[in-house]
Amino acid sequence: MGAQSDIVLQLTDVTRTFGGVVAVNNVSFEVARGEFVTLLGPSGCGKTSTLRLIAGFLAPNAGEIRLQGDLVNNVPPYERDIGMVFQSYALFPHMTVAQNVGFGLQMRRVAKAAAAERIANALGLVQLGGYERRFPHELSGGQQQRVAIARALVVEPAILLMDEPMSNLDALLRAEMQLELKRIIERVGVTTINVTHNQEEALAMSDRIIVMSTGHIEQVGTPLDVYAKPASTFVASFLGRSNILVCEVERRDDSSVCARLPSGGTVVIAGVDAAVGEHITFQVRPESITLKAGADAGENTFAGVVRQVAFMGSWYEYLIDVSGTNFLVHVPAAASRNTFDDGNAVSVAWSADDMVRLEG
Amino acid sequence: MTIAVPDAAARAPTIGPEKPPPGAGKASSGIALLAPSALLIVFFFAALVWLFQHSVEPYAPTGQAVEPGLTLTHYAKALSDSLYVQSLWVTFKLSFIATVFALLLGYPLAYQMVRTNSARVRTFLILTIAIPFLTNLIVRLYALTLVLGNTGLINKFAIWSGLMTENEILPLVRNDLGVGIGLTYFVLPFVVFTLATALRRLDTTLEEAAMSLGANKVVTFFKVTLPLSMPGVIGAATLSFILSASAFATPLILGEGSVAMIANTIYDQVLFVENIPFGAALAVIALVITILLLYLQARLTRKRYGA
Repeated sequence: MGAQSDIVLQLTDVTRTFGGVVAVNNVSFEVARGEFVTLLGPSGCGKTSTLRLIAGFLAPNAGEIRLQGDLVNNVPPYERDIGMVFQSYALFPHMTVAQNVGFGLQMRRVAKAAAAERIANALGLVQLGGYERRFPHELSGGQQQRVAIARALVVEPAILLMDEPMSNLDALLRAEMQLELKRIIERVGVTTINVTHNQEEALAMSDRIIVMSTGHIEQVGTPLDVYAKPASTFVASFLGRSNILVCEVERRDDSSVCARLPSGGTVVIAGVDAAVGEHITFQVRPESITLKAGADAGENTFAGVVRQVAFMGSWYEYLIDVSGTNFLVHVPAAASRNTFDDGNAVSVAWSADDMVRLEG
Repeated sequence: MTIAVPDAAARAPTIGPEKPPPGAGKASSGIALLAPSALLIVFFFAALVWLFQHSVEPYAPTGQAVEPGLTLTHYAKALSDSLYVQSLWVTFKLSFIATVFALLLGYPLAYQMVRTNSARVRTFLILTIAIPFLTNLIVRLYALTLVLGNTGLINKFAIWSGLMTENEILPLVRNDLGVGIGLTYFVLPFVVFTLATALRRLDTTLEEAAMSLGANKVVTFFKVTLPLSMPGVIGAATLSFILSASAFATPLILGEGSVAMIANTIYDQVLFVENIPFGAALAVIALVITILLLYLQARLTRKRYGA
């Protein structure tokens, strides 16, 4: 048993179609006990369908879904040990906060006194003690979300499922709730699957991120992995901003290759093995590029002209034209005393280590 | 063309600020929009005043002098004479029964209509309910007598299948049962469409939330779906009761004169007995009951929770 029993959820080659359209395509992954996993992707990538398959609102056409080792493909949601937080919170409008939170306990026939205590604890956990007798419409959006979280957690589910839980909150509250929700989940220690299209939320909250696109998994990894070493062009462009360039390999050494950019000039890429003449795609993050006034010489250094400047608060965003190719460059605002203006001649440079080769 | 020229010429020399004051156009169009409703208010209100006025006038048979003054004797008679109390009671009883059965039959129909995944099933249900709804009531009622009547389909089937001998009759018309069936049939489309609207507005994620918390389909229905559709149920019940209580043709045709609901009694008083004041008093009583019901409905469905 040992390691086996530490896998709470296991999806194996799960496929689901809707009238001939494949929504979830051959998806496999495992979630360990206590892990916080985020399904990340643009709308229509199949992340919500995957969550609904795990919850039991959908049945897979093929593949296996195992919850705590048991095959649950055709087990209805009410017989699965889950807790779910909905995008709209889905609080019962005709019940008080206490009745909402107590609903799952009532379904599990928990004795009244024990239920009351657990409701009070759950509301305390989300800092809503004293709100028992309020109705959902008397609460703010943020408070409603806390009730939804308490309602899902009070039943102590094997797995907590969250469907875009932050998307109805305004930006400031969202950032606050991300941290607070993470604190609550860590304290409870519940295994969690979160669905979102918001990369910041995914990066800030997750132990692992599963990036999805058009029904399949693009990459699975820690937030740092998927950000720093994206497996595909899709992941690189979906997570954060990227300069993605295709170049042709000219020379190769033991540990690096020298490749020609379409706009002219050669780059040195570390830790890449590719044949001479091969076209390879690589990524450079805008924050990895340094800007200098005037021309400069050196490895991975190119002369360019500032085309656009935008002040973003904590950083400046520049668009630099290097022989017809536009490079996006981010410079921390605090460090840049002298900002560059439109039309300034500059040079862009980056380290060979900051280039990440992308597949496809 | 030639006509337009002098017209334009006549308008051209107008000097000075002849613009209408701001908002004048809006106001006048607003008043114009009020005209039809004003017409309705005036005539409807006038009719009500007339009705009430008649209900407190003394009655004299044709040819005899009417005493001057006002009287409440018609109301006293309507509420004490067993004949009329009986008519009010039958009206209440049959309307109540028709409402209960229309809700019991209509809720599953409306639910199926809203929730089915099959467009064909939905269309079939809508048509089955809408086609009779759009057919003339009298035609439908006579069609119903062909089914329920003493020589109708049901009786013929019962004899044919040996459930009854040829001398027996299953009485489905000319009694409360027949009128009850007829009223249920009459109000069913109103109930179904009212409930369907309420169910369509219900957020199905609430049902999913209940299921995610361990409620099976039956529990989810009784704990979430039904309570949240109560405003629709109360609305449908009120509509059904009021329509049943004012039914005239249904008791006339299916009751064949032996079931007198309040509308039939009023009709008899006004047209045959020619006691217009007494008919008016009965009508005012029926109206007051209807208004009370509407008030009750408004109280019951008053927002207990947001949106």
